[in-house]
Amino acid sequence: MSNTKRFTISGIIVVILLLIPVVVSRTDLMTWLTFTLLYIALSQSWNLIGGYAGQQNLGHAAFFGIGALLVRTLWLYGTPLPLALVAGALAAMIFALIIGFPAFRLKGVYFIIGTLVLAEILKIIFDTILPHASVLPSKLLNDYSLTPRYYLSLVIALLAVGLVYGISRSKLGLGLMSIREDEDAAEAAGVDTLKYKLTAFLISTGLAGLAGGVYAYFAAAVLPGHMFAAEWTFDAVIIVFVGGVGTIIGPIIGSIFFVLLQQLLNLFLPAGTHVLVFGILFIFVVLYLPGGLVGLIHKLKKNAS
Amino acid sequence: MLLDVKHITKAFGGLVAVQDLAFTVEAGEVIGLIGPNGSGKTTSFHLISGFLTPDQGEIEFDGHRITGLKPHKVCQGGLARTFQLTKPFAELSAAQNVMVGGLYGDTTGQTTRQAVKESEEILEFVGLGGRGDTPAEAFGTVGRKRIEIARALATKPKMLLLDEMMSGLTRTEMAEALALVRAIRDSGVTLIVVEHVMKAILEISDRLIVLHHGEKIAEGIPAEVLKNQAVIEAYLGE
Repeated sequence: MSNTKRFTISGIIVVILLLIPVVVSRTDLMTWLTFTLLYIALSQSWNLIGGYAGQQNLGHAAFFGIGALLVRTLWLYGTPLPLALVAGALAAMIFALIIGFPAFRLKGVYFIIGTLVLAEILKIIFDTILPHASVLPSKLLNDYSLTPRYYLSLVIALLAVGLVYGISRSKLGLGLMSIREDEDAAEAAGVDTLKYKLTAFLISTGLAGLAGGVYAYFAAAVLPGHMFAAEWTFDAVIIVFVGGVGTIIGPIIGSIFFVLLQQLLNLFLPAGTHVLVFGILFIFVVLYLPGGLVGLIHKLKKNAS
Repeated sequence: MLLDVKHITKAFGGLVAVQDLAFTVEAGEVIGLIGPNGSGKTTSFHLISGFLTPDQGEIEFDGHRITGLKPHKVCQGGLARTFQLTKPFAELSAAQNVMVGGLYGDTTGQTTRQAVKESEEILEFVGLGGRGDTPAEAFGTVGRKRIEIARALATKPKMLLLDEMMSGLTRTEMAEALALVRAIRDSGVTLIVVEHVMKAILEISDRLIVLHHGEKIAEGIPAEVLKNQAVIEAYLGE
């Protein structure tokens, strides 16, 4: 596909997305769309560190949670939402900087376990010190509208997709992919691997913090501990792998697929069992379809031509 | 003097892999680093290229002390290397492999456009012209070795450490590889070559350094070194 064609199609999709709240009034549909956009932002942010840089960070929920909790608190205490969102992203990035240096001393499976444990520790801490649900005050609940929530998710999703797309085609993106492919070879070719892993980690966690902020603005009632729940990480990871790891379009297709299937499964199965289905799907994709849905589409196109 | 290795020692637990190794390399030379298996050749490469830090001793390159520098700093300083078991960026194209070296290892600050153009030239130079778009994983052993050399050359090294680029090659492939090594030398790059294939190393080396149990047991022009009693014993046993 040529660049012009690609930009035209992207432009048309963005315009349609902007017009949706004008046309659609069903709240269930608007909720799904808002969640799809939220998942696009979250999974794309994971895709940068996990897909492009090859650092399988299983602590992504920690950064989502930090962003969510701080934005929720600041916003409910009267801080303007944009300011609260910036603060949430910065807090996630500062935390990433603090744990990044020790975490990146761990390699391979130790990095994966280390980051997973970190997020679980935060969840336990906030379950303990903030055991009560944060409910929107009645004034905000009475005025609650999905439209601004939808638009905020759209802005953050576009930001995440645009940023990761730009990086993937830049010098930084090439460096990150070289680290993913072989860290020693990247060092030998002059890549400061620690510096670029940290850079990707900061951008990734900043976006995760923003996604958390969107959730904080969306949720009518939420347990603070839930903001740090492992499912935020695993949903993002499953979406990226099912969609197509290390591609821009993968997390987008994956998010649409994920939310659709989740709603479909919730119709027929007891609530929560969709996790089981996604787990099995994830294993299947990793074993038999390493390129995810994007890879499958490419394969079918190749066979057709 | 381009490289000055000053009495470096490296031990892993009780095993001394490199012991009090000292040698110098002049600009323009081709040095053959030989020795039986486990004699410390690859460890020496790791020490010089920054992947390992010596327990004792210093290494100077191009007038600067490089002991303890990280590998990317050593590379940016003009000392590049390849790996015994090739490490191409498998999912990236051959051109992208080379561009990483150009964009990160060469400190003159290439633009992406320049790096693209240069990657084409360098791939041509190593005999992979026109195959830049092919993913590295699609190449065989010879192609991968060449991609790795191209990636190292893209960093604009003053010195290149080649680790066993002849192993696993057929006779024809070896002749081509030797021609490539000569072409690299003629382009003004100083070389240290680790090699098991004795015929190959004799043909290209100006000087040989022989390691045995981590120690240097001989050094000199190939013809003389091969007559050295200690070298014969190291290879054939006493």
